[in-house]
Amino acid sequence: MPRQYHDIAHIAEFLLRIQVFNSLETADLHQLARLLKAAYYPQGQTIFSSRPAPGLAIIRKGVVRLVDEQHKFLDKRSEGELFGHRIYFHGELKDYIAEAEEDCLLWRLNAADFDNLRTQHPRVNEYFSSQLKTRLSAATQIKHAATQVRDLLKREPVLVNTDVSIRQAAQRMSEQNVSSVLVVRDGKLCGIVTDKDLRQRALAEGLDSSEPIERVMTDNPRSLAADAAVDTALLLMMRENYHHLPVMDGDRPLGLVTAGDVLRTQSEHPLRVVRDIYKQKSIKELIVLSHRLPSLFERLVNLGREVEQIGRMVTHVTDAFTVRLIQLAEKKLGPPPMDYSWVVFGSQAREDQTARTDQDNGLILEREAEPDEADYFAKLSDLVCSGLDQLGYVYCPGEIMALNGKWRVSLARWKQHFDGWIDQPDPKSVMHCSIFFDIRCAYGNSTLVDNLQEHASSRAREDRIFRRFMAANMLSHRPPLGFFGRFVQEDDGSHSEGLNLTHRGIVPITDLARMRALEAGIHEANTFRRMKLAVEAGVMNEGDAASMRDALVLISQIRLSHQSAQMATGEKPSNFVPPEDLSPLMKRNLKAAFMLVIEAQKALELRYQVH
Amino acid sequence: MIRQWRLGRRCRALAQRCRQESLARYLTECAEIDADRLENTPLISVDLELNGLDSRQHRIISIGWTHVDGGQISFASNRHLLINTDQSVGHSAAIHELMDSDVAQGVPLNVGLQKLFDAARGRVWLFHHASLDVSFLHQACVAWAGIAPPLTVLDTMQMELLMRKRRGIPVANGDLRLGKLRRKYNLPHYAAHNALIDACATAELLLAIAARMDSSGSIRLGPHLIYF
Repeated sequence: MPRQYHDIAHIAEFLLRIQVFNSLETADLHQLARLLKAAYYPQGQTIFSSRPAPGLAIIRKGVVRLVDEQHKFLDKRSEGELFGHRIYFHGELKDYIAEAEEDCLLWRLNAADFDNLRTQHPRVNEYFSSQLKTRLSAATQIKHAATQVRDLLKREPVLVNTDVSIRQAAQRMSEQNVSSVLVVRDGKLCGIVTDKDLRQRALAEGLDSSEPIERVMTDNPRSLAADAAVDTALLLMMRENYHHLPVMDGDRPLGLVTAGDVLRTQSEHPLRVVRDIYKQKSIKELIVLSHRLPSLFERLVNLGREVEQIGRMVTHVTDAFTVRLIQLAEKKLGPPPMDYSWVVFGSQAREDQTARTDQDNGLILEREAEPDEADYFAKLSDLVCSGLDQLGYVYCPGEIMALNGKWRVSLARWKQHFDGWIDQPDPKSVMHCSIFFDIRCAYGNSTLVDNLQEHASSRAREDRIFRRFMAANMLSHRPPLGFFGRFVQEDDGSHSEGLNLTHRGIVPITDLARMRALEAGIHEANTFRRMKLAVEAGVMNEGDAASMRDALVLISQIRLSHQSAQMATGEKPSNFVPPEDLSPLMKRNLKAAFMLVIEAQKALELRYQVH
Repeated sequence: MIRQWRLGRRCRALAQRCRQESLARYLTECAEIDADRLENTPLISVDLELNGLDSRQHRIISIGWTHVDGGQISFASNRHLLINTDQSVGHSAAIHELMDSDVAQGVPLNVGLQKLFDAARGRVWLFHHASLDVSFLHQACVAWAGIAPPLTVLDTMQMELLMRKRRGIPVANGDLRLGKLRRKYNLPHYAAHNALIDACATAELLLAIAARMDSSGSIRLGPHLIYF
C-alpha cells in the first residue's frame, strides 16, 4: 500500500531524524509517537521550568531559548532538538526556564512516559543521563572537520545567462547531460532551473520555448558556502525537500550538489561495507575494500554513535572479512572433511573492537584429525590468517591464531587445554584464560563452541582457587591514579607516554565483567551484556553494573575520540592519551570513572581475599 | 444556554429515530457538550478527502481525525481510514494521490462513519472550511442512519476571518487556505491532501490561532461555534 499513510507514520518519520531515537526499532518508534502530544507556544511565552521534571519536549518547529533563574542566556534550540531533560551547560548541570523565542510547535512527552522510555531503552537513557556524551561527540566533531560540500563537487557548474531562451537552456542541459543549470546575471547566481521546472513550468503550462529562461527559474535559490558541512546540506535537503543545492565561493557558483551526491556520502555504512565484502571474489578485491575502513571508523565516531554500537559495527566488519576469507579458502580447497568451528577470541569475541587490531583466532575440530585432514585445516588456516594479515588484522604477537597448530585441535583437546589451565593455575595459564574465556564462533558449527564454553565455564565456576588466581591477576591492572588522585603516566624510561586507557581503564572493567560471567556461568563475551546477565543472575547488583557501564562508556569514548583524531591526521591509533590533551572536565570525569573501577576492584579483592 | 438546551432536545429526539446505535450514542452525548474554554473542551479535528465537490454526486474517499484535549493534540488518537467507494477516484487522484487500487483496500463508508462517530462522542468538531465536509457528512449519514445529526463545529477558516475583520486586516483570495495560514503561524510544512495530516494540520492551526487571540491560548469557544 504505497500511498496509504499509517496513522502516525508522519510523526515517526520526523522522530527518525533525531539522533537519539535512531536506535529505536520501528515498533518502539511508533509507540513513542503515540505517546506524544503537540502544543503551540507563541513567541515570548514561557514554556516551562526544568524543575520539577516536565518530561521531554521535541521542537517540531520554531526556536526555544533556555535561560537560568536570573534570566541569563544558557542555550538556544531549534527544530529537531530536545529539551526538558537535565542539561549540562558547559559541563554544569543547571536548572533552566524554556521560552519560545519564535512561535513554536512542540511535541511533548510527559514525565512518566519519558521515565518509561528511558527504562525500556538503555541507549536512549544513556543519551539523556550521560554528562559527557554530547560535549565529547561535539569535541570530536570539531577536531575532524566533517567533510565539506566542496569535496562533493564533481564538475564545473553548467551556467546560463538570464537572457537565454528556455530551449537554449534545455539544449545546454542535454549536451552537458545534467538535470539542472544555474542561471547567472553578471556572473552572479540568481536562479536555478531543474528538469522538473522545465516540465512543470514550461511544458505543462504551454510556455513558448523562446521565452527567456528567467520565466521558469526558481529565483534566488538556497545555496551553501563551499566550506559548509555535508551534514548541513543533508539536513537542508531533508527539511526543505530540495534536490539540488548550488555551492558558492562568495557569490560565484562553484558547482551543484545533488541529493544523490549527499546520500552517497552516507553510504560508508558498516552494513553496506559488509554487503560489499560478501561480493568480493578474491583476496585482492578484499584488500581494495579494506581501504574504506579508516573513513568508515572515522565516520562512525563523527556521527556520535554510542561506543557499544561502534564496537559492534566494527566487529561486524571484522567478522565479515573473516567469514569471506574462510568461504574463499573452502572454495579453493574443497569442502572440509569434517565439522569445525572458526572461533575468535579477545576483542573480536567481545564485540568491542574500535579499529583494526591484531587477530586472535583458533579452530575447533569435531574430532581428532587424520593426517590428510590435518593438512586441509593447516592450509585453510594459512589462507585465512595470512589473508587477515594482508587486510590489516596483523598476526597476533602471542601466536594465538589458527595458524598455530596448538590452537587448531579437536574439541576434546581444547577441553584438555582448559582443564590444564584451571587445574594448575599459574600466571601464564591465567593469562591464557583471560583471552580464551572471551570466545565466540565466527563461522562453522557453533555447537562445538557452546560445548567447550559449557565445559570451561562449569569448571571455572566450581573452582574457587582458580578464580582466586584470576582475581589476583586482574588486580595487576590498576587504574592510573596515584596518591591525591593524580594521574600516573606510563613511563618507558625515556619519556612519559601518557595514560594507558586500554590497559588501565578498559581491561580492568572487561576483567571484572568476565569474572562475574564466570561466577554466574554466563556464556556471553560482550562486556555490556555480561554485566546485564550478571545482574539478572543475581551475582551483581544493579547499581554496580550501572557504574561499571558508565565508566566503560566514558573511558572508551575518550579513547575513541583520541584514536579517531589520530587517524584523521594519519597517525597510528594508540592507547596512550597524554593528560594535557584532555580538557579539565574530561580529566575530572576520567578520574571519577577510574575511582569507580578502583572501588569495584577493592570489592573483588575482599571477595577473593587477595592482597 | 437556550441554544444548548434546544440542541439537546433536538439531539434526543433524533436519537430516538436514528437507525444506527453508534450515531444514537453520539447524539445522546452531544446534548451534554459544554463548550467553554478551549483547554476544557474536547475536540475532534476532522478532514475528508473527496473525489469531487458536490455532496450529492461525489463521494468521501478517506477520513482522517485526531483529538485535541486540554489544548494539546494527542497523536494516540490519530486515525486514517480509506473508504471503499463504488465510484472511481477519477481526476481527484492528481490532488490527494489516492488511486482506485488504494481506495479499494479501504473500509465501507458505513464502517468509517461508525468509527468516526464513536471517536466524536462528547466532542466539538473542528474543520478547516467546515461547510463542504459537513455537507458530505450529512449526506452520508442520511443514507446510513436516516438522519443528519446536528454538529457543533469550530472552523479555523472562520476564526481567522473573524479575527482579521476585527483587526481590520484585508483578506485576499487564497489567504485563508490551510497551507498559507500555517506558514503565517510558523507551522511546519506538510505534504498536503492526506486526510489525517490535514486533520492534524488543522488542529495545530487552531492552537496557533488561539494563541494569537490570547497568549495563554485560553480562549472562549462560544463566539466561534457554528451549529450545523
